[in-house]
Amino acid sequence: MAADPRSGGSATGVGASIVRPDAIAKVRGEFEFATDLRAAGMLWGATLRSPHPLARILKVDLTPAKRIPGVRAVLGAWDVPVNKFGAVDKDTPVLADEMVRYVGEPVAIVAAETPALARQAIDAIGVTYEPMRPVTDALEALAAGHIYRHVSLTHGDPDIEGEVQAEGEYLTPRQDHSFLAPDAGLARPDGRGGVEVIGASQWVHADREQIAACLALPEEKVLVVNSGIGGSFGGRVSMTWQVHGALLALHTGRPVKFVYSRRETFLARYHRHPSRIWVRHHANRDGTLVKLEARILLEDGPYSHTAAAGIGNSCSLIQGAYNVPNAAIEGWAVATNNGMCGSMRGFGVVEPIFACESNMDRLARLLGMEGAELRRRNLIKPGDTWTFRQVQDRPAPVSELVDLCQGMPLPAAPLEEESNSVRGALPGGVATPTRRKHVRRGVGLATAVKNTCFSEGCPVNSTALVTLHNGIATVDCAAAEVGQGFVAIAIQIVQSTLGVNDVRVAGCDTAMPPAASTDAQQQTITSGPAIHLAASRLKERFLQFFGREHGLDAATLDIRDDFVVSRQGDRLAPVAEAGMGLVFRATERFDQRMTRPVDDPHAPEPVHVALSFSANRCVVDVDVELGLVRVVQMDVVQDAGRVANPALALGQVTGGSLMGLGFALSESLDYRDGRPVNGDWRDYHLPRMADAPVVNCRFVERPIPGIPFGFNGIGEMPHVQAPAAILSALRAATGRELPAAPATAERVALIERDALPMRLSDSAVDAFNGPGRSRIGKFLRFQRVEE
Amino acid sequence: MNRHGLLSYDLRINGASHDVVDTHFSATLLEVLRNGIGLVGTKQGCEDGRCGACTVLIDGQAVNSCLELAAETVGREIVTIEGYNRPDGSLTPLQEALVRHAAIQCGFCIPGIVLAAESLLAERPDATEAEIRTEMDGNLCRCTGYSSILAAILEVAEARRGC
Amino acid sequence: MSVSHPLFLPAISLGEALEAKEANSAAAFIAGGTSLIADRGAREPAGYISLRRISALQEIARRPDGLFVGAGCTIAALLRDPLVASASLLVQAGRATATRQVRSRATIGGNIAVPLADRSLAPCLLALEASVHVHSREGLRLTPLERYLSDRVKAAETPAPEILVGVTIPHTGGYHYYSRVAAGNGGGYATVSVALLFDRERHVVRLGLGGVGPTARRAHEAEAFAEAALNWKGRSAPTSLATRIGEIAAQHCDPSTDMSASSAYRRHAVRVMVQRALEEAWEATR
Repeated sequence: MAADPRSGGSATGVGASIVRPDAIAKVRGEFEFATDLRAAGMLWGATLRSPHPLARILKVDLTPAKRIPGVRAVLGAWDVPVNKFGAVDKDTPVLADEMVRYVGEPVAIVAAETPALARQAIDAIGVTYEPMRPVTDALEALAAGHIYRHVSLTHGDPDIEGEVQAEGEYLTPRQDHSFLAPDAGLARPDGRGGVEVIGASQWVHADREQIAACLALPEEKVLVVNSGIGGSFGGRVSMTWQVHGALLALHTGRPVKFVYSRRETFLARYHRHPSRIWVRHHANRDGTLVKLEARILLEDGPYSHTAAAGIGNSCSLIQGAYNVPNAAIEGWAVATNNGMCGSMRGFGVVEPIFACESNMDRLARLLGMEGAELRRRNLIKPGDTWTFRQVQDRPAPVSELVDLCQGMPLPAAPLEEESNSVRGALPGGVATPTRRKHVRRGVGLATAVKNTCFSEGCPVNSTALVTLHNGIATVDCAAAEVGQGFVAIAIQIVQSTLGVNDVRVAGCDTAMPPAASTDAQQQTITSGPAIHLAASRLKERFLQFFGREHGLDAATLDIRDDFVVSRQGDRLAPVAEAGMGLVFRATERFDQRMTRPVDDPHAPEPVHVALSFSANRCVVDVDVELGLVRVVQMDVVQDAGRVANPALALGQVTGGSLMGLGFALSESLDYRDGRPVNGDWRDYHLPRMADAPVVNCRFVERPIPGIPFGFNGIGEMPHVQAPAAILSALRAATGRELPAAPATAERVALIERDALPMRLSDSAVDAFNGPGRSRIGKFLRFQRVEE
Repeated sequence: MNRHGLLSYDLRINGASHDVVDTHFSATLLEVLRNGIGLVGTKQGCEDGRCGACTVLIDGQAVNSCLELAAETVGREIVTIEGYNRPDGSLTPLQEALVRHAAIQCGFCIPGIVLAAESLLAERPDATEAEIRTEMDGNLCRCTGYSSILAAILEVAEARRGC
Repeated sequence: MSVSHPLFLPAISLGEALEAKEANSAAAFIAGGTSLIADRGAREPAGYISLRRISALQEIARRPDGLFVGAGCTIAALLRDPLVASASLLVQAGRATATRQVRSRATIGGNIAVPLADRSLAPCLLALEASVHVHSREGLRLTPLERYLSDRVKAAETPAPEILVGVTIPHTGGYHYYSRVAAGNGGGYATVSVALLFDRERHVVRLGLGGVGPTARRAHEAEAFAEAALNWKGRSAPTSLATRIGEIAAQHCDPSTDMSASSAYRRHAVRVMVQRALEEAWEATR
């Protein structure tokens, strides 16, 4: 299906592009975000952060801050009952105690009557540090054994060799989520010894568990509520201000609000892990792949966060969307002091797909084949076995995606410029030095695979409550709406399943049982079914009631379009009246299938709940001499289980593609000697409207078995495939290797002349075969054992 | 903060007079709007004038309120999203187009985009697609990839031109 | 109507502004404010003296010695003004400066007064051989822009307070060409920029470069070479000559490495951009 860009119209239910329920409030600026929260008697919070990448804390003197009139609380590490939290392993201090391990690490917090007083208090705190030499290089960290996780995978015959071999080493950047709304929130005491924390979280229950543990409170004493969220993209997993706010609120007895500046939002948070990946493809002369060798180095921060999950994803999907009969894959997630790292859209998969596709380009050149042709020869099919010993037991329509992609029309050639407005279509934008004669056009094709849902043994589930009263249905579900539009999909599922059109969605908080995290493109595929099951059960109960009231067999009844109907479709009564004022409810839970760690080949479960695929044909225009790039067009075909809302789905593709474009061409958060050098929007370059290519998108719907409606994840995949496709097109245009992202003007113009040293290749790897800790983190927060 | 750095003045916002009392002379218009007066429709995305989420209209011109001293705006006509909105709750053609093109995801950039786009179309009713792309350079969006926003603005521009 | 206070003074005359600065030397002159406010960070300012209401700074007029543009004119105002259209370099650069919201406020005076590498109008004004009018206690003086910028690089603050009143751009003919590279295809802040005034009739080449030194600069060596070496009457495109001119310009500049680009890239870009500028100017004026 071609993606429909418009919202609205009279259609309802799954498959319609209904207008999202919060659209009107948002377009009028009336939608409340965490930054907009206010409460009577509110204090303002502020945070003292480490200026050093690694240092011992010798002394912290809070008294000068406490003396300032209007400052109501000044807290340090010893004020935190249990001073450790973390997304998986609890190794991150709430406030640094003996050591600081990254620039920006929180050391002390204050609450004051005004923001200016809070800042004044922060400046008055005296800390004595003893700086130490930080670890700032991932290879150095690897050699020294600062390893969060080491994964080793073999498949088939790891020693087999192919007639043709192509190898390369590839680099990807530290990327910032740069969601528009800075970190913010409000914490307030609930008057009964507990605390309410209102902010922007991807997973309110994960936050609650950690906040309660740090405060040494039972979870029931902590209510975590989501306000409006201004974008997430995987960036609201780790908490920043939440425990701080809760501590200050309980300490002062008053609400405490935090609002971070953009600089602080950069500094305080984690970023996508930079990577260095070595790949060697072995193939026959006809291009069929024989073996894949890969070494993947992910640079994570000084605390574990989600490091283990990232490298697990990477090692499993480095093979790309291809059938690879033999493999030797090794990966490490290592710790440095270059700031925290963690999940971001396409977590742990953007990088290996980039490396895999880049090396496939290399192999194609070696074989003298077209990139698309080489890919076609190797696309994975149902029945093939992945390198992580999971059989592809579900549809894998990759060759269809490639066909559709290539069948889409190519764009017109760049026009002869006559006026400034047309010149805007050349690389470089307004006032560009580029003219048509300087431009070379390149076309590249990339394919990609992405896992849907948390993998490797992390339980994924959701619970939903659906209520029906007087013809209006309400959904209660703790699924976080971060901008992706899940609230619309929730409505549509109830419309389709229950047959009622007026559906409301209640807010997201921990008063409900857990839902899945808005992460790993897993919300629709997990909370969607939970809502469907609850709506189904609700319909059963309602029809039983109606049947009994009217002497009819409930099995012969249905609800359609707000009416109770007979099997033939005759309308019997409007739902609003048929309920006779009673309240009907159903609560249901949906669990994804269990999964196993990637390097445990004997367990019977799959590694990934589900996988999805995509193909992206990308056209770029390049001023090769100056390295200026314009992405002209992307033709994207994505394998979706079932597209719930086509307009919203297209929004994920255009948004994710542009975020991938940023990764591919301009985004890199750089650290020197452990210090971030461009942590703001002046020097961290985000794509703007003039950078947006034409994006043509089609979805191929292959319902996932066992999932109501057959949903699969959609939101991460566009970011996973875009960088690979753009670089592939750049290589076609320039004839250059371009092994590193972002492909800045300098790199494209080959001004950065140093060839990328092969640090992870055979010869170098002996340096890293030292002892390493191998810890697999499980997301053990919700071990609701129902087995 | 020393008391003698505080000013009081009147601002004309959305056609009405607002008393700004005892506010630091260095306060930006954005701070006064959000924290002083409580008009939170105008958003703060950064502090460098790079994102445009803080866009307001001052005498019809799109300006970053995060870089504008509030005291400078005395005597000017300031319009925020609250003043742009129709009092009866209905949507303007631009707002309606943004909704219809599914250009609204998280929505944080939207108030700034609405005002920036309206002032652009008022200044340049003949704006071509290429011109809209470059003239909307002051507004960042991280969710949509801009295509839906551009399509909405273009549709409104063409409708006004009678295309 | 405006508010007045020792720490925020909206001056209505140059004299009043100077007086206020003499009374509080730590206070900052502020016009557009787009750099000043963005750069102040967490520091509490010592006071602002606003120049926005001084009518002398808003003037744009054709005078016998050239086009006068008041220092307080915003980039948006410049882009709208029919008189400025003749100084096409300013229009080309103005359109590519920062973002639309910033162009509503940023002034031509601000673009010169703070001699930073990425200022967009200064290279154009250099190529146009503009002079700046500066007002101080001693009265009004006229200084070539190039001299003004190099003085400011040496000493960011002058010993006695002074205010930039405007620039005078001599009436010239010639072909105007401006180009710049920046991160991305949006407006933005130029990494490297080239402003060329090419007058085939008078055999004049003026090149202003941005982003290849602490402030905008004239490429004197490249200009002199070009003027001497070009076969002004000839018709064929001087490609190898343009290449050589670009090389000379690149040789004689002082780019640094920063967040946006390395000095190697800047030098490379300026070479290519100057070459292209000359080729295009030559073609256009045949």
